[in-house]
Amino acid sequence: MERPAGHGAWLQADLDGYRRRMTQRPDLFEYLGEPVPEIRADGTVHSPTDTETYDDDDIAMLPTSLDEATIISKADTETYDDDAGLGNLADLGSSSTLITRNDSETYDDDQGAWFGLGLQ
Amino acid sequence: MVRPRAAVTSAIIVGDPGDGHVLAVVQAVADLGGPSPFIVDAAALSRKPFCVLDDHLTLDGSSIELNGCTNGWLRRHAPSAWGAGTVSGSLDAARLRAFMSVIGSIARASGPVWLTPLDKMLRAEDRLEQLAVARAMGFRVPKTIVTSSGSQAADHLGLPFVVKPMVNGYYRTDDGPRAVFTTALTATDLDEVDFAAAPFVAQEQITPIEHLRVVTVGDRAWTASLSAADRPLDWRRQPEAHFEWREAADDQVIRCALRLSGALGIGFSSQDWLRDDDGLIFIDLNPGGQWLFLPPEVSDPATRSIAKYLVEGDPDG
Repeated sequence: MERPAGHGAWLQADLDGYRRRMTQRPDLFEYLGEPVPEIRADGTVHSPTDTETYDDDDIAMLPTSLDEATIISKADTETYDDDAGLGNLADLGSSSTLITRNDSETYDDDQGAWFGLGLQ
Repeated sequence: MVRPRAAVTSAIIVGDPGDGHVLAVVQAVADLGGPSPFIVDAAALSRKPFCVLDDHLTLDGSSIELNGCTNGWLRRHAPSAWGAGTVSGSLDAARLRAFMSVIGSIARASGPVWLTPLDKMLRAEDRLEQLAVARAMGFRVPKTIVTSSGSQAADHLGLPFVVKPMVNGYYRTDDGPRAVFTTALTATDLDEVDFAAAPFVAQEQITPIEHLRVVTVGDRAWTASLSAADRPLDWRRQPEAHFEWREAADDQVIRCALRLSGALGIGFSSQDWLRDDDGLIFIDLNPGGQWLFLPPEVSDPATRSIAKYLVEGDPDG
């Protein structure tokens, strides 16, 4: 390869090569990123891995306010309002799901998991 | 201009009223007989009528005099996923930033005595700053480097080494949102990725015996532990791990965690420590982190302490 003349041209060639490398391979976000449930602007949660059906659309409808927050228990199929136990998260165990609007934490009995977006 | 109607005097919470942690604290405040805190965040400002006039804040018909507030708890400016997917520099981004700016001003109000002041919180969120403070205090921290060169990281840390996002590992793609967990990279991985395209925190890989989550509120702290046996590097990836934390009476880590939160000037923290064959090692902390997934022996007193702070101004009372 013919060398470009002058220090400035060398520097430019180095930068061009650097940028090409950057565009040819995934960065760490792309390489390590894993699908997680999506909370959309319309207040629905779409999980790429959750096969549980909360409604017939396979979408969990989120409450529009705190008072409408809902706990769905797989064990007894009843739906409770927030008075029944939003403060008792630890009691939910692995058989319940808590859904609240704008809450990025999903307590999901399939995963047994909490998709801690922002969780440290 | 008409001034807002008479304001209530109470504590203020900057946070999402739908956040389970906010809910738990509000309930604890009620249990203590305190007045309901005023709750506001950027998302609320974006969907409800509001007005900031001098030291009065009105939101959806409720009003509070910021200079008359007693105490404040800065939980979060906005829900974690709020604004996710907004294109930087776009009109939507400008709108979101404007709401965030208003919340920032509210969170800097001099009336309430904040459990953690905003600027202390912002400093404490900085991963490298946390490590620097912990290291300066004599605590063990993982060898850490932030570099555009994967080979430089490997030379410094050995292989495999661990990478974690600088701030937030959540992003959106055309195929849906994705999250980046703490992950160990091998030589093969380094050949596959462009290390320079986005900075990550790279750290030596620790082989822990147990994970420790310490929650500090004021001068009090509680600890839960999770055995590291048969866990992935990032325990959050293992479903059952979320339910297997146990209360731990670990005075050593509590003393260390309180010293660290004191040095950072934060009234609340959720701290991650590890114990390996050589003892304790500090990993990171979150000045607005989660605690309700921990056993009730840990989570309940932490919730009550925040509530006591809001009602009485003293979390340790």
